[in-house]
Amino acid sequence: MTKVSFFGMVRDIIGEKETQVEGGYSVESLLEALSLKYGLTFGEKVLKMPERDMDLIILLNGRHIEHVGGLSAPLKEGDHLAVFPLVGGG
Amino acid sequence: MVEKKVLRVNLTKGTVKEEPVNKEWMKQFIGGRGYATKMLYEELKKGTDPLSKDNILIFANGPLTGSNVPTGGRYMVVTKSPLTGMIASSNSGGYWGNELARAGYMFLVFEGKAEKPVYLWINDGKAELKDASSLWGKDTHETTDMILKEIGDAKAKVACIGPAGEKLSPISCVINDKHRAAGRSGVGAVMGSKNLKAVAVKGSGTFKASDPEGLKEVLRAGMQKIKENGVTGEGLPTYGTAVLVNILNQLGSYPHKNFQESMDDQAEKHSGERLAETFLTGRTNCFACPIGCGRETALDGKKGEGPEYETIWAMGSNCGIADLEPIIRANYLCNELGLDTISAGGTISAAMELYEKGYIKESELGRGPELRFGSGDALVYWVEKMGKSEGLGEKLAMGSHRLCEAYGHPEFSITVKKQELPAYDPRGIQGIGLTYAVSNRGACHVRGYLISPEVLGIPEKLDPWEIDGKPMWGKIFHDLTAAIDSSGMCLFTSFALGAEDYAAMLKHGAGFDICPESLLKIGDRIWTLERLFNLREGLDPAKDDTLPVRLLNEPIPDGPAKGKLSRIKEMIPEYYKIRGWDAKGVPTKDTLVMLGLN
Repeated sequence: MTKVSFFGMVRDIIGEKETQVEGGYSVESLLEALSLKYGLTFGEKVLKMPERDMDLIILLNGRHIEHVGGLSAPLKEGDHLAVFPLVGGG
Repeated sequence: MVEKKVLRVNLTKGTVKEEPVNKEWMKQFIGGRGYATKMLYEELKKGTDPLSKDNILIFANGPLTGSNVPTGGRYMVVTKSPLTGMIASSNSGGYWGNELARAGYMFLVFEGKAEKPVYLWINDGKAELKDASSLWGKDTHETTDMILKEIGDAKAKVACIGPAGEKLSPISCVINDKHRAAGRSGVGAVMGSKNLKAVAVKGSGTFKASDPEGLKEVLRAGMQKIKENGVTGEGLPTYGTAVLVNILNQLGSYPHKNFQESMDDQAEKHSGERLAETFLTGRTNCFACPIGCGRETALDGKKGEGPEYETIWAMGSNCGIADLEPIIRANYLCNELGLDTISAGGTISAAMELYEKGYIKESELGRGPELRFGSGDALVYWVEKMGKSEGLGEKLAMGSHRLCEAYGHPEFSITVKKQELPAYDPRGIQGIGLTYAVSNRGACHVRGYLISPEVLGIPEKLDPWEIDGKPMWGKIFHDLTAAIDSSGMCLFTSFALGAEDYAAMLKHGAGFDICPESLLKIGDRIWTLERLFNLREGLDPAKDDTLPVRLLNEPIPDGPAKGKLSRIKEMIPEYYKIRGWDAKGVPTKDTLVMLGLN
């Protein structure tokens, strides 16, 4: 099981703060599992399908996925994925 | 180039006179932060006491302040800082800067000291000093309301100090439009030291672009970029800056309890998401801003703005406080009393550590609550005492450096050049630590917001744990920021815009002969002149361009960044080299010649 937490507009869009997902063996397959769970809304508004033009910050155990293998980063039992919209501040 | 004037006010003599803007300085330094730095460098005698009548205080618009370029409403307050003893250079938004531009002035320069409290009233090119005796002791909201009533013009704009500035707290700020702050480095105390309570301004002029048609094209493209950018088009308008709380916490680089830890398991309770569900009543925009990151909130029958991300962290996680209510109350108090929220929070957290470790004694608290991490009552109570310099609050009002020195434990002061660190742990985010360490005004995140590439991935994703390339990224960000701060625009536009956009706006809006390369060179010149000012005032790079010992010696104890320390010592030599400074951090003769500063 992978724990997935949602923040900002992503949380608003899917209406949940966090969930547990089974069967994701990579970040990419986990996002696909989330698409199945949350349906079209998640695909269109979060992943920005079909172009997958997603403005997201995705952290895997506190590391941006880009620094741990990107979308193909492998997942293991107990991992934590945090999904943020692209936001900023100062 | 747009013609604007300098208004020079001698408070000792009670005189005001107009001067032309120095056009050569405009070319070399643009305006705002850059021009004011040049003015301070030329006019201030080495070694001047920041709180003496000999210090000068400059309010500086950029050439695009008051224009229709996006976010073109910013102004700077530049002086010698009573907190750092170096340059103070604080930026603010709201509507005050626009009003000053409409009144016909780009710069206000205050010299000397008034015999009794005064405020300056500028009404469309006419300026007079007025008695402020009845305003002394009033908070910033009362002061604003009383001045607007006295001058009989509710649409005038007021920048003023509260009791903290009057009491010469080196962490006091200038508040304009009741809720916007030129926050850092104690600029409020310099106003207070001059018996200058406020500057009220009203103008009716309009901005005239040097090339209206060209500017129209540039603005169309710029506005499109701002609208389409994920941060400026959606993230900041929807959630404001506070949405960063959860991101930094999940990264494990969200300082907690005076940087003793770097994760807060209660962060969700004071996150931007929670703020939106609870106390948020609306969003606000500064002048000409299409982004609208400001948050309007309400609590205890009061309405206010904020808290912003920095404030939520400084008053919240850094003080071990989970809930938003005390954070909002303390934020309102800071705005009313005229305190910098970052430094105020950083000082309370240092005081909490001093108290919990037995250095501040219970007997010193009077009737006040114990200074314990997690106590919202203590936060609110001691912020008020700090703003009024009452009891132990008098020591707190001096900032954490002086407070911790007084108790013999300077290691608990998390400061650079005596100024408190902002809300990102440089042990887990290496590049922002470089900005903190070399920032000319002391620890600061908005002198080069490397969080953008290191955390948000803009313009590209850098690994926050690595140091490779960070000195070069730092220099580019530092130079670009200096130029943006000099233009009159807000730094937040840089999530969407690049050097080419700012150069085009300055060219078509204000008649500058400028390109992206020359814009960055001007930024380099400004940064280097600030450095020269600091060196003249006694900056010791070996001692001052560093981070607090805790961040060099105490690894992050837990979370994703567990075990990390700042590697600032490895980055500094490369940064100096890239800047054209020698190994001791002093600009070389060749660099000064290249920048026209010799």
